[in-house]
Amino acid sequence: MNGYRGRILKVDLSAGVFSETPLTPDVARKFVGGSGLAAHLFFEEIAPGLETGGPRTSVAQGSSRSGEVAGEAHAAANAPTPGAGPAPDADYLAALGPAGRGYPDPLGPDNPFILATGPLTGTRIPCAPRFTVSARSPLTGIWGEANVGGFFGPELKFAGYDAVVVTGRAARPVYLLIDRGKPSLEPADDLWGRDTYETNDLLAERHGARASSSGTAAPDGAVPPEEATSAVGATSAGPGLRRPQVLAIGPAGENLVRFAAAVHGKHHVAGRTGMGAVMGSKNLKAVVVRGAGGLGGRPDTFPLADPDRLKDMATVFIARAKENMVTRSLGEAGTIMGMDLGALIGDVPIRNWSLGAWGDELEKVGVGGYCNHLTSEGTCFLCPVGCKRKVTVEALGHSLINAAGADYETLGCLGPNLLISDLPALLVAGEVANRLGLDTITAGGTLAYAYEAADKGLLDGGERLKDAWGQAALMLELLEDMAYRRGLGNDLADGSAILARRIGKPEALEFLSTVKGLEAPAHDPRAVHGMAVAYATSTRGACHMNSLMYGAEHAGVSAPEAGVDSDGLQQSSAGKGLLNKAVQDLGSVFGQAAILCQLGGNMYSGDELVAMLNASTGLGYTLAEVLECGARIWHLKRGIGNLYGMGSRDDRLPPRLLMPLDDGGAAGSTPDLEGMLAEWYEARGIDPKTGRAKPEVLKGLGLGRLADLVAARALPR
Amino acid sequence: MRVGVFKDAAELYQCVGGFFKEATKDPEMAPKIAASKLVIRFNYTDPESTITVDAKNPPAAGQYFNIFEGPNDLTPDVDMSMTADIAHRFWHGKVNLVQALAKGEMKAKGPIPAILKLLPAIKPAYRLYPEFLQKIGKGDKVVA
Repeated sequence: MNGYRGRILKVDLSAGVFSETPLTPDVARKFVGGSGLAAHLFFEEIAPGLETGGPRTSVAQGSSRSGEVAGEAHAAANAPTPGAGPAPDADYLAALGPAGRGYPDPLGPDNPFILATGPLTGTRIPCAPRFTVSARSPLTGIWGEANVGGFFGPELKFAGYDAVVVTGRAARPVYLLIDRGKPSLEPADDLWGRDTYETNDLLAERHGARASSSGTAAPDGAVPPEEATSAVGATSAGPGLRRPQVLAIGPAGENLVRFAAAVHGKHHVAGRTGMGAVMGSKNLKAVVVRGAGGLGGRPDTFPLADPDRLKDMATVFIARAKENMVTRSLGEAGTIMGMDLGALIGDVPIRNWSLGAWGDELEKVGVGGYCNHLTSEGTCFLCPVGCKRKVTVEALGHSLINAAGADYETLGCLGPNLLISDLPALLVAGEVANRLGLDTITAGGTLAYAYEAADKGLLDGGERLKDAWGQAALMLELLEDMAYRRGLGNDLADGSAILARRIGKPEALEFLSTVKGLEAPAHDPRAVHGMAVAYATSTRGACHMNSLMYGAEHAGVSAPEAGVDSDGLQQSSAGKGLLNKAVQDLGSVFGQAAILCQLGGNMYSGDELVAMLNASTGLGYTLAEVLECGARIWHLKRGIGNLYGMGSRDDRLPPRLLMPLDDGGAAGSTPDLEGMLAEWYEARGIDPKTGRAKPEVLKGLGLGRLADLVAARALPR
Repeated sequence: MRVGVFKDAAELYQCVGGFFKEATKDPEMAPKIAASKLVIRFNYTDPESTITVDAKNPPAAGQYFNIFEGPNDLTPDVDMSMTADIAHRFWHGKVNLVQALAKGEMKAKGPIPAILKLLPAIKPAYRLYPEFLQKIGKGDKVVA
């Protein structure tokens, strides 16, 4: 099958058994790949359980690691790992609120954990190195996914698989090794407790690569296509053996911190929605992949429909990346330029989203200050942009030497949002959070929430947070406490929405920054109104990357042929509901299924996406069919949320994100969210009262089974 | 018949050029622009015109940096090109900078980090430029 390996690996950790299922042409055509394919695989795994009421064992198995559940096997599987922090609250499913209902338990063995690549992964196309990580989210209770760059995605495809579906729970810590098509489960007791960087390095070295000081793939940069089949760094295992790629959890994932991340290398983080906790719940410490063969289209790897066409397109795109102002800017300044640009328009969250300006403080954490610590740049597989930064800095007792540097989101959420402008401290915090395996967006949003809750006298144990704003050392301590679930950190480790619910007072909800339980990233919807409706309707909660809205409204993505044509008026709500549908349809393929990077890939049009897909797969897509795939993928993820009790009341922003600001670039600006939503519900075919798609819309997309299951669910109260 | 904001280069220099000349003394904007130590050339079309900001060489008395209208021998560190209408909207804060760059409505040559360092200096302009237009009797050109 052109563009794909045609194989999906299934791993049952409980039984220690592997099996394969084919990726059929029909499924590939309809769901494309990435989290589109993952959503389909997830639904196919859980639908039988939903249709029959779910296995009775799953809730009991997943509810606690304290061994309360009956059964020797369950007790053994759930025995606390030495050194692990306190068990999560036994009623954590209830703490998720309405989204806690339903099968499977997000931290239970039946929650399918899915890694997936796309039809452009492992090809010459620039800015297509990404893979997706998906499961039911333990943070939100609905569809969870993270999207990661680097080198792991192509290597998984070179290793022989389009996707991997992991179910069950291993009795002891393990890592999954996929070595040139052969999977195995290897013991990971010696790795449990280690941070993500150590684990990445140890596993890379164990399986034959010499670890570099930066810890990223050696060489850390684009691999020239001609060399893709040759040894990437001499190894002790002998010539011709390429460096494996690793995705690992740290202490946060092991301790089931609900927003635990999984980290690949040093720069590349599957951050959002707690996918690291899902791995931890399965005792899955890491996944290691090593492939064989070269880029797609070569005789020793997967076939492509038109490799010459793809090569010609790649040549054009690489030249374009050098000229395109956005990709050039990303290459020279990294995503940190978002701080400088954001300061102009009021995009950066300050003091838990309560301030619109902060004097000259934002300048300290922008590109100018960052340049003082910059040592080199890094990139992803075959990406000509090179937006990753490497830094050397000392702060708070830590010394970073040519280390992976924090990007904009980390700086924004742990920095100005906590009133911290100490850039060296923030760079250290970024590394610490990565090593611990924490999502820095949720970590920062949760800390900001907790600081304000403490100020208002709402937080038990909040005395420690007195005068916390601006305290970098305290912030670093709290990151560690969250990862190890120590003291107050145990409460913070469940995220701000659950914390607010536990506080149990109406005023506690007023200053959240979450949508559907997920904290907003560092882009203020008051500065860019399109982000308001994007956050409100994202299938995984407040997210700027779940569609192409960020690209369209911030980064110059333009695909008028697909309805993605922003008027550039960021503080206008007019037409943004319709734009939201268009960016979701195109974006669900572009950024989630194909899988193109939304930063570097901003230089592509919708027609070019179609051309790339056809050159890879030969499926003869039209733009209309690609957009239909996008709608199908989007509705499937949305419908999964409906199955877990999500409704239209959840398509809203918290009051804090709509509160007019007094100054700054977004002063006085308030998105007309209700107007945008009305426009969007109608365009989407969703009932605004229930938040559910009309059955005929789902059936028209081939999602009849989902439609029946959603219809059978009681409406959320 | 052209229907741009400025009827000719002279009017552009009166408005945009005049604003830049005011900015050379503004205590909010000027020190930051001066600190960049850059020569920035703005090339406008429709009408054809050029304004150069010189923050590299010693400024004239009483100001933080120099402004030159029209061609000159300075070598720019940053070269920006756009239509006069885009420039007029930009100094009102009405142009999505990244979108304009991505669409080629604004072109920039020069080190990106240096260009980004100028952004904090630009922010006060969004308030000061409309005020300046009012002051010189060009309030009809203020973009709401």
